[in-house]
Amino acid sequence: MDLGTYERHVDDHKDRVFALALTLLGQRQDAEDVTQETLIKLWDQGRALAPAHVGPWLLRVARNASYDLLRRRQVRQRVHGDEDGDPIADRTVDDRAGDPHDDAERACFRRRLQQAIAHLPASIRTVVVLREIQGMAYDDIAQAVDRPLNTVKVYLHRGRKLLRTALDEEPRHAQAS
Amino acid sequence: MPRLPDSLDAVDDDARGLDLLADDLAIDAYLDDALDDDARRAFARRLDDEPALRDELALARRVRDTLRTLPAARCPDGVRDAALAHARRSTLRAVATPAGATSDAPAASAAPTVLRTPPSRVGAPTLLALAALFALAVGALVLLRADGLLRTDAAAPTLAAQPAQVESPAVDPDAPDAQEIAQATADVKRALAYLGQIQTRSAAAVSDTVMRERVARPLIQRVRDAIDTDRPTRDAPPA
Repeated sequence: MDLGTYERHVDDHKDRVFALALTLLGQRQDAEDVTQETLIKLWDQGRALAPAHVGPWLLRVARNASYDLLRRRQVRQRVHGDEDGDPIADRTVDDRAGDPHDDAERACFRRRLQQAIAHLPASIRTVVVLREIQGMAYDDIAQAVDRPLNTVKVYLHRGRKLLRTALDEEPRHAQAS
Repeated sequence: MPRLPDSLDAVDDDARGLDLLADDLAIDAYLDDALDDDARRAFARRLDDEPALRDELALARRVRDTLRTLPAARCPDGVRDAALAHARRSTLRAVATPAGATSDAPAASAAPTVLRTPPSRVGAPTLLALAALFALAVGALVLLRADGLLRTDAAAPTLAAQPAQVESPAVDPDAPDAQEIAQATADVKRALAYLGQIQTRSAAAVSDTVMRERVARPLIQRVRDAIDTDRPTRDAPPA
């Protein structure tokens, strides 16, 4: 793999690698570090890969690096009780509630949806974001999360169901209180 | 804050209590346009008869449509640029690596986590060699211009000692005096300092091989040519 080929691979896959890391980690800075580490590893260790294998390889490396970081973060939390930033500011998706073109009701719905996504179980959230927001193919998602294809589809069904449940229940709770 | 699982396997347990009903799968399949014609018609008939199912479908459609309006994550340019810079540096280091030595860069796991403002990796020995060559060339040209001072072994490192070795400067009225020699020496020092600044500012590694073949060798050859061109007149016996 020469420099030109490497640059093309980087441009083709960087957004998906970053999206996966951001979804798993929930923090931009950590996701950027993992993405950079992953892309560098492609040059250092993956230059012999066939072009078709580069994408899945990158996603697998990014996933493992993210999991390593999550483990270290959990240890740090247990030892030091650290908090990991503002969950709203660091969430996977941007909050555009202030968009003047959105009416208040749509903006409110979008904000609630983002909150619901943030509270999904991690494995389900990953599949939902990669599929519904990033638009990744099922096969790529299965490679990224290291799960069988059917499991990915089940996660997506469950994620959609959980989101509907959260968005359906919240107004009733608000009215009751 | 987003909930972190106690263990990575535990995240899957969170969803196990959620029973997916046939209607949930049917709603997703309907929205994904994954039902065959008969199933789609049957589902549409149910929608007419079941308001709850209709509401659930409307909510599902709204969730899906809203999700698709959310911005997809985009990798910052700095991350891309840092990765490409690493690859370029690695390539240049590999070119400069002597035969037989390994050219592979260290594994990424050993690389620093944050590299978005990569430090300069200019090879110091290479630029010092370039600086020495530059000084050599400047010194030789200064001496060539000063006919009376020209020496066969003209070289910059001995430039500082030249004034003491000057032979009969008085015979040539165009020969530089001590002040001009001091000025030339200062020029060489400034050139060396400038090259030092280039070394600290440049972000590109310079291959020793490229420097030797494309810069040093032609420069040395030009100096030699200049000396050889001048030698007949210098060595010619006085008339």
